Amino acid sequence: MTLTSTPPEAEAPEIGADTPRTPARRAYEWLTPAGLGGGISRGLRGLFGRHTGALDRSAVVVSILLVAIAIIGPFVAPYDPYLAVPADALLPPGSQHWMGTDDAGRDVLSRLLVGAGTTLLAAVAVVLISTIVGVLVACVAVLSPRGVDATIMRICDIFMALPAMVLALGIAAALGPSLGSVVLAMVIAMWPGTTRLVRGILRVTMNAAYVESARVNGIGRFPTLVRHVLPNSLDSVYVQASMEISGAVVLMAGLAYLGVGAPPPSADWGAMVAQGREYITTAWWVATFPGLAITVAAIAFGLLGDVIRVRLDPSLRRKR
Amino acid sequence: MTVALPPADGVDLRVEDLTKRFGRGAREFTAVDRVSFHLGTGETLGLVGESGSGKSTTVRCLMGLERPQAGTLTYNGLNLRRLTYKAERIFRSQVQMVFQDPYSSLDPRMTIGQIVAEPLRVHTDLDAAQRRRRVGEMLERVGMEAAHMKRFPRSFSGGQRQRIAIARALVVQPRVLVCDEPVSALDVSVQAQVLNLIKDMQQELSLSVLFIAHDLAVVRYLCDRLVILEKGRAVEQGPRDQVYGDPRHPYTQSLLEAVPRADPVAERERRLRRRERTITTQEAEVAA
Amino acid sequence: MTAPVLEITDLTVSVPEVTRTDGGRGGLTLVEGVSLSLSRGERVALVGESGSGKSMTAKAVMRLDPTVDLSGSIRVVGQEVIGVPERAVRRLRGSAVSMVFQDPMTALNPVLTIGDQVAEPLRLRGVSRREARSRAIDMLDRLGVPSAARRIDAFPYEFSGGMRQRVVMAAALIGGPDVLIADEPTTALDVRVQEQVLDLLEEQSRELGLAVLLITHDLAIVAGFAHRVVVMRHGRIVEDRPVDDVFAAPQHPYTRGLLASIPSVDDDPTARLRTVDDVMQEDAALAASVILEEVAP
Repeated sequence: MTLTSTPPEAEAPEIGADTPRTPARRAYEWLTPAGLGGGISRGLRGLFGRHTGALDRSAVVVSILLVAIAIIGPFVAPYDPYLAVPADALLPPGSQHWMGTDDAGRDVLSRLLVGAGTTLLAAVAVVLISTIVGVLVACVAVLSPRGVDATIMRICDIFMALPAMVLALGIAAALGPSLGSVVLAMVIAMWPGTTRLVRGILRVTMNAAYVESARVNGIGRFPTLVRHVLPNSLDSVYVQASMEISGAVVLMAGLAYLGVGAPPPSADWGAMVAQGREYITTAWWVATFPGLAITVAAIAFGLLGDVIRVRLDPSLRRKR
Repeated sequence: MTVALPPADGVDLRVEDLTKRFGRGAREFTAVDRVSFHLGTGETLGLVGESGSGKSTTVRCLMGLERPQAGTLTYNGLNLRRLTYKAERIFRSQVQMVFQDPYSSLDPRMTIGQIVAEPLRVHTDLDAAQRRRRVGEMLERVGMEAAHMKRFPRSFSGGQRQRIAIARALVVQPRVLVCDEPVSALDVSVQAQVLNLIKDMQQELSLSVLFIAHDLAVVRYLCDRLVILEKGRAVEQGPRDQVYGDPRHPYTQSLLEAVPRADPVAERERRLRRRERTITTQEAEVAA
Repeated sequence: MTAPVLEITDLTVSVPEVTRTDGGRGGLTLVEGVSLSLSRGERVALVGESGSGKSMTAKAVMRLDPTVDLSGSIRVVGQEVIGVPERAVRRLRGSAVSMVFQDPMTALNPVLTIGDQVAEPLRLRGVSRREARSRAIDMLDRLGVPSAARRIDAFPYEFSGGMRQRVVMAAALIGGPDVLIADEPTTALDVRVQEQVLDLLEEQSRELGLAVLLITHDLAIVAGFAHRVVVMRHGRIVEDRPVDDVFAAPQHPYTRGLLASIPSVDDDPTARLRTVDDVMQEDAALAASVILEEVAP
């Protein structure tokens, strides 16, 4: 995330509201992993134009397909993804191995299928945990007196000032290479973004008349928050979360590429790309197939987030 | 069909020297400046002023949505600035509010039934079935159907939403109804319906009503007494006929003047006179 | 007789497919068979409740809503607007026909100075910065914005609602349009400011020969302002007559209802306000015969 020096009274931009799309903002939007996924999906929308129905449907279908693969992958894999068969090392895609083999003779397709579970499960776990933590902290911030609220926001700013990659790298390296440490590192890197977003939305929602109406009936601040404010504020969170999944997949892949993450012979896609990088020119299939899988997953989930946003759009809200 | 409700009892709402300031340092401004008025049993008081007059802020201070810097606020002897838990319960169940914007005063994610039942859940210990019955009755009373309980606010027009808001406010049989510009966001033709409803409810339930508005024509139908606010100050106060018939303060006079009348010939004349007045004022300025 | 500056003939605005509140899907006709014309310097009020189609009609004139289907004919200073390419319409916007919207608080871009926004229509047509700026100052001055030369570089937030509406009007009038469409320009304003804005509109109309189509739900404000009143209901025109006639002897029961529901400082305060429904029920027989007239070709 880029360095932001925000004045104390600044709010997080409302999703969907008219944040001025200055060139700086546009650049920022593009540079985040979710932004790239979203940017590609917007580009695709541009191509499809009015026929985005097909695009939306394929996004949903692919996302479901990926989840299905994640679940049944291990059962359908033709070969053992972890068993090294040195004799079969670096075989090109063929009838025996549809996606070829890697440098230890393991079938790439099998590793891909099994790795789907690891990668996606980890990505979803990261997003789920960081979103829950983010929302909780935002609620605390919004209910607290100004000083505490400001402190929490400054903490978020500090975290967000460091690029997610760097932050996650540092934490994961410190905790030792394992899937768990990567997940934890990513959660720590991602929750402040959610908090900023949610806090901004909560504050806006809390100005609505129906919230005042509840307060005027003597309902306390916390029950009002839970019963009225949160349900009306979480739409953007759902959208953000599904887009973050694609960001998480890419981020995890990047971390694995840099050597942090689940140790080999783990089959997660990022690690696979990392393994295959030496052979890019000689045995292109080792890195390319997992790379493609990551790309497809990122785009599919990014588009899914877009679809959710469109469906949740309060286009039914009438104005005189 | 209608359950006979006992008439609301004694109401003694006093606002004395209420003062509310916003902002800090150079940007500080006084929204409400030593405003005083009183609302008694069965009375309807109109709080009239333009935007920025402080009428909404006054009411928000009254209802506890803002904290005033100075002044006394009492309801039936209870000090509203220092409410105990018990006192607050009493106050809030007896003084209910209808808001200005029908499009944001109803939680879009709750059904009408849930929305109208909420005060019942908070202030009474009726069970779900009893609540549902009361909600149904109340909806019918305001001109809606009990079956609407299952629908969401988005299915309803502005006028209907205000009816729902009124139903919500009256479902706990309060003694005081505070209306913050309840018809300003509605079409003129729909305003009449809602105003009639408020008047009917006021008579049926012997309510005391505090009615905030910027339109003098609207308050005339409902209010026994009026308070005219200009830039945070109460510039005129008195019984309806006196304020309309013999306005003392120039601001009141200019407000009355500005109300459009449904008479093309008279209006054109007025416009002509206004233009002439402006021209002579300009000439005087130039000459000076 | 000079040609009308705005001529709408048999306009129909419809939405192809929409999910209705009853759950069904299908097409929806928002405006049907509307015909209306404005001559130079004429002020016409288009009156109706929410959902009557008045705003849709106004937006159709400038083809502002790309999602609706238009049929019929709309001629602005003789030029057809329906069925022509977008750039032809764009040429008309700001120069032949202009629009002022309801909410002055959001009609102005908060990050641009009022000078930039008022000058924009001119700059888009190639007028030089300097000249556009001076004409903007002129325009703001004419519309009664005090110290226009000094405040031209101020931002919208520094102005009150009434002033912002003047700025919006300045931007709308600077291109010298022949027709100005004002869509509920006074609804969000206090009564005194309302009066000022209407006075201003009337003055400009008088001085510049500007035709004004004022859209509103409030029949009361049009009494001193308009030459003619057109009443719309459920997407159709139910009355189109000179203002004095409409107020003195309204024909359609709906118009009578609208008039009756206006609260007035002169009425008996203890009487019930008459609503549109009350009046229409009273005239049940008359209503039936008038509707028959509407439906018959």
